[in-house]
Amino acid sequence: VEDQADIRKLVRMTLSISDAEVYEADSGESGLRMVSELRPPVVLMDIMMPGEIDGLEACRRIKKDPKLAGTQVVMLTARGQEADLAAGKAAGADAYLVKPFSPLQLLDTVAELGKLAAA
Amino acid sequence: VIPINASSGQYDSLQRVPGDTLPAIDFLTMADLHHAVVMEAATGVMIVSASIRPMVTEFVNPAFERITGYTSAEVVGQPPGRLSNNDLDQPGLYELQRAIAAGMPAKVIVRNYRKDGSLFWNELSISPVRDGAGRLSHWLGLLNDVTAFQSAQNELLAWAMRLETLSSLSADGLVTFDANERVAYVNKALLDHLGLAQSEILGATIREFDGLFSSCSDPRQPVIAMADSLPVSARTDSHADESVSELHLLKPEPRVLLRRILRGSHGVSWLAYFQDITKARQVEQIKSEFLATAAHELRTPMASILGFAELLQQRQFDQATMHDLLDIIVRQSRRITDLLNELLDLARIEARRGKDFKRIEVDVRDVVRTATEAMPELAGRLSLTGMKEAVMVKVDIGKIQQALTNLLSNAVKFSAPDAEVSVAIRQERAASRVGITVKDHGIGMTKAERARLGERFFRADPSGNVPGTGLGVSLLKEIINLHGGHFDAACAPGKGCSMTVWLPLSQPGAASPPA
Repeated sequence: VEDQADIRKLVRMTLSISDAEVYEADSGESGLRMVSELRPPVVLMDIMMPGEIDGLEACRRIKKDPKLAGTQVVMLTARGQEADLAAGKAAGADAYLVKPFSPLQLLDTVAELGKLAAA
Repeated sequence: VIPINASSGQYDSLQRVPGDTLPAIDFLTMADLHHAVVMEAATGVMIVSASIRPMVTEFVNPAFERITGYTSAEVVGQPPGRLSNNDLDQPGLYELQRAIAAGMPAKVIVRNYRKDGSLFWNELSISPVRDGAGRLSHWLGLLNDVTAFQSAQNELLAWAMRLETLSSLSADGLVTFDANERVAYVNKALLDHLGLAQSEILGATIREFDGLFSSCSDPRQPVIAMADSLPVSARTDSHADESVSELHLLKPEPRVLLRRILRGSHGVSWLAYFQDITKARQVEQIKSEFLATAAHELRTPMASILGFAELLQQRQFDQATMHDLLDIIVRQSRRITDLLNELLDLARIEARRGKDFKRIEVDVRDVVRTATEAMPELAGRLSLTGMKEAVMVKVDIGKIQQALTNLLSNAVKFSAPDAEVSVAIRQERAASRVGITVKDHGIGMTKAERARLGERFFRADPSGNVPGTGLGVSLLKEIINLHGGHFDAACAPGKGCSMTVWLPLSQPGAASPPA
């Protein structure tokens, strides 16, 4: 879930290396709809997005929804200050990647969380 | 100690005592001793006859002569009152007149004048002397020169006035506690901070004073009680002895105060000083928010650059994909460069506040022509109006062109590739201003987006599909404001935007070339 087209493209290309199935949404609202419909094991979530629901709020809603139990959320954001990481943790995020991130790092994180979600 | 010479029956002063005289107290009468007291006293003594009219001075002592500069011979036989030297409009003198008329004693402080005309403050006591039959026979006057005391007191009053003025003008609050640890003084600033009247706070104990603060404070950031933070050391001269805390008030309005408690002296037990740091805190917050946003804006394109570069390094891609990825890297690198340039521009303009603007008289039409001709994207879709008449302004051409270019490139970026962009010059002579309006038929803006226009890093298109830094309008607003003009925008979603830069006209009388 990411409003910047270039970043969506980067994530899609990176995850295609591991044969993951990737679905894109460009706002918190459409992201939430997509997650409850597709129930993916891992959600990559930007924080600052236009609209009513930012990434933190979207993460909180996913974590609160019993139907989505086990869904792993990775915050993927350019906000890298201590307070931002703390806010991500408070919202229930399972991992926090600060932009710019290395594609390999992204692959590792997603693979690890994918195993957790499958467990 | 004064030796008394009994052989002559007279007192004598130390210097004038012959060495061979023998003290013989037996021969001295009480009257002699009283006389000695009068002659040696530091207090001026005058005796005025009251039995004849007008009253005349019968006697003055040497202290009177010293204090007033008049000799005994100059005043004895004369009416008293010479000392006031016609400076008669004094409350003390009226009081004296009333006491004399009533035959009552009195004590006053009056302005008197020495023989040489110099002023002295006279603490004067008068008392009536009555004969055996109770008839008023004399007035006894005692004079003390209290000039030094009086001027010290005046000086003290002047200081107190100055301090009171200073502390009432101070933007920082001040309170002092007396020896019983109750509020003895509070200045206007502190009363304003708390929204209280003086009577509500004077006499309060330290605990009560703390209570006043607690009731105004932000419950999420409770006030550190003054009673619990009094400096421990007894030293009054050490800064280490200060106790400093930050207080967050919500009422009567949000405010951040820095409280310093100091131990007092001379009847002041404690002194607390409240510095209003609300503004400073706001500026700090704006700065750190700005930094966080700037970092965010730099990290986002950096994520694309680094990410795609790493992918290219590690994977094999076909020619078309490789080109595509390199395109993204180049585009995002340009974006970072633009961002840095505009950030530096903004910082420079803000720091210099227009001091390095090179302002010259110029025709607005020339500025518009140059700016529009420099944009190839406008070819075939530009309409210019209001170009018939010269309109002179005094501006930094480079900066105004930069501002116009920002507007024009927004108009181009946010509308269809062939949609018309119009530029109109409109002179308003009555308001002594000229407007340059750039109108497009692009995506426009919602009311909420319009409200954020000019906010740093705000972008009408957050998707990243339209290139831009989100600093263009901030920069243009700064430039226009520093020229004494202002910026206006009217937008509707889906219908485009109309943005106007207003500039003050050159002062009339300035050279104006023909149209």
